[in-house]
Amino acid sequence: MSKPTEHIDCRPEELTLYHYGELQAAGCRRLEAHLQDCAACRKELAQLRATLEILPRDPAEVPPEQIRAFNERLGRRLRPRRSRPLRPALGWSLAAATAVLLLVTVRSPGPGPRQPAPDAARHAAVTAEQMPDAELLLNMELLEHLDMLQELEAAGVNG
Amino acid sequence: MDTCSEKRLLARIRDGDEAGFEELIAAHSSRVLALARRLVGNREDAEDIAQDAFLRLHRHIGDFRGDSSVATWLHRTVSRLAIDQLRRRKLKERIFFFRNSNEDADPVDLTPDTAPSPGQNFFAGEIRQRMEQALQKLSARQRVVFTLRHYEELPLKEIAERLELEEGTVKSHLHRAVSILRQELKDLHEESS
Repeated sequence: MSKPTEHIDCRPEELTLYHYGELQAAGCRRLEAHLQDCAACRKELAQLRATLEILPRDPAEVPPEQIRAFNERLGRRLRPRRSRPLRPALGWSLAAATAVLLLVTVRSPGPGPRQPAPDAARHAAVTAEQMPDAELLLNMELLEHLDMLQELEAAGVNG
Repeated sequence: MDTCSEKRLLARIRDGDEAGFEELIAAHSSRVLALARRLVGNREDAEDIAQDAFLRLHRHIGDFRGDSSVATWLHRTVSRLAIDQLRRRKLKERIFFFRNSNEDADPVDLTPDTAPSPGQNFFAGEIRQRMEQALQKLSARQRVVFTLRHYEELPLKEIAERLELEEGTVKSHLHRAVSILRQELKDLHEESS
């Protein structure tokens, strides 16, 4: 890019704004008057326009098949959420049960005063065992999205 | 989609119409994907951003007040997500290549997404590839501002609002972006003149 010989009225940023029609009326008049007298700025503007004109107009054509695949993938991702619209009670109860199970596992090496009551451990194990596999998997997915559930609670969109 | 249809669709979605959101996706995904692709320059990142924008909309659809249209909301969200994505990408590349300076050429910058689109001739493909390489020299904000002004033809005032930047800052980003692109594409311009 060749630099114009700058004098007091040469403002390269204004050439860019002028090209994009972003100068106010007074700015346009001032620049146009300046261009009458300044060959360097006229050349600069011509080069700027020439470069911008060779740029491809649409560098991002999205093929229809890509759009279809995207829509389907997103639809599939959203469908389970919609068909199970927030089952917080079940999700949180499973989370609680999992926490109890973890506690049992961690503290099980030997008998001691801090060992959980056998009834509670049995209850937690039974809760997990009695749950059908599909239900368990389904709620494991909910657990994976706990952050999303928490976000939903604090949600706010300025649409 | 006109305003009335959109309001009816949003009401259906809020009432639990399961297919409604998919209609919303179908109505907007083409434009959202194209915008995301222009902003970040490759298909994978573009799809991630577009998906993230739709998931955010879905998550908060109950709170969507309709102060702006869905299209405007998605456009704004995708633009901001793109800046984050471009910054993350640059940071990752800098860390990976242990470059001394942000201004140094990055080997990854030289490997743009070159998937040809149907009907492209060789010269157009060459320009596209050079263009993508040149765009990668811009900062995240410069690239997003340039893309929104040059390709999306949004007025700078609107770009400033959407990106929550001062209008003067947006003007500087645009001018700087154009200067860098001119420098990077100087030889193409000379060949064509």
